[in-house]
Amino acid sequence: MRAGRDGQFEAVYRECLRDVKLYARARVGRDHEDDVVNATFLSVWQRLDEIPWPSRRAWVLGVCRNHCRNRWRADRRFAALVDEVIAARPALELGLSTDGWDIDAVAALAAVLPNLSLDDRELFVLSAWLGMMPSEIAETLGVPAGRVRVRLHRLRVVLAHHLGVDAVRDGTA
Amino acid sequence: MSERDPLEVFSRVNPFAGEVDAYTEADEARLLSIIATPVTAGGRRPSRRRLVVVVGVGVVVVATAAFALLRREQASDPTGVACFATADLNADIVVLGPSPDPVAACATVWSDGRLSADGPPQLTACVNDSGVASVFPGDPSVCSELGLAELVPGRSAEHQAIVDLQQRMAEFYSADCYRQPEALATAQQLLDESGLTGWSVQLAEDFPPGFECGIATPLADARTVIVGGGRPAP
Repeated sequence: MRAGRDGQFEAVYRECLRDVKLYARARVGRDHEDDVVNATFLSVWQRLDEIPWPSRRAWVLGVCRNHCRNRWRADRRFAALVDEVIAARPALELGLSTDGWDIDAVAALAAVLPNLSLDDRELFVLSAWLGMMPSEIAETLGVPAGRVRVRLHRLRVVLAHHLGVDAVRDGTA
Repeated sequence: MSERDPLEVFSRVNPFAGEVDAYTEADEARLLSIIATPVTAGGRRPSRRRLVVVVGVGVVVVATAAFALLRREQASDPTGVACFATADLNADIVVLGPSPDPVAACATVWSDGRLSADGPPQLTACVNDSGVASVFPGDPSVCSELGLAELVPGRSAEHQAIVDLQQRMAEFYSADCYRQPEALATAQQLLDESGLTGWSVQLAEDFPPGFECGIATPLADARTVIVGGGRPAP
């Protein structure tokens, strides 16, 4: 590991690279993923002194999100996410993939993703695929954590419906 | 987390996961390339001279447009204040709790270096599309330039009740560890005592392991008190 400023950047880079690549690929697709990843970490390098260290992951994802939002048109947001999941379904049904996916879950996700709003697709990626807690998502999106919890609750209801399970219960006292 | 949590079920259906996990030669090349890039401190902000020129050229147009579009209103969501780093809705923000003086609250954020190494600039409070007080660097014309209303200070009686409820909940839930059933019941009790009508209590999600002690907060736009696991048991 490098020392000083270079070492600090390398630590953030290695820690957040997977998340940034995954978010960028889901949002803008393989063709533009590299551009977003490059721009994101160049911004991180230039603004290294501004990083709130305890919440660096959310901060870096926020930078990545801004680069996606500023550079690409709205109609391409998360199109790759839908395409990739839908494309995976027939391959699984033909037994072409054996990486342990649940075929029923793939089918359910392929059915529900196109119907999710762009905001809900983003919430899905941050929560399900990046494993972020509501407080981290709130920092990434720049909204109160309580609002994220409400949106996650609603998203769970929609996803549970497509899975055919009763995964969400009312919390009214 | 339960096996039946749909987000957990779908977390295992990720067509990208295997491909982005590996640290490749291209990733290392990117790292070396970025580290070799000179750091341009302060490069994100225009120089003072350039700013003066821009303002000078545009002053008549901006003043006319600002006058024509000026709107003023109170925040419909009094539960927080957003401090923006630049006069741009996509800028970095710091979210604060409620404040009777959003400009003063955000000036503190600027002074302690959370938004910039420089001191606080002139700040103006607007109301964003979610009804939250949003403070931007700039004079009062910044609100109309961003298509927002200028904030009218003050709170209605209902807004004051929401803020009071928010503060009471913060005190209650930080003082004791309320597990899920107690946290819901306490939220309902505090809501009943607040005098707010047409509100309900809702559980965001089952408290996950490691977050056994609840927190609760009012969401003004949803007229809902949301309860969730917030911190580990002592």
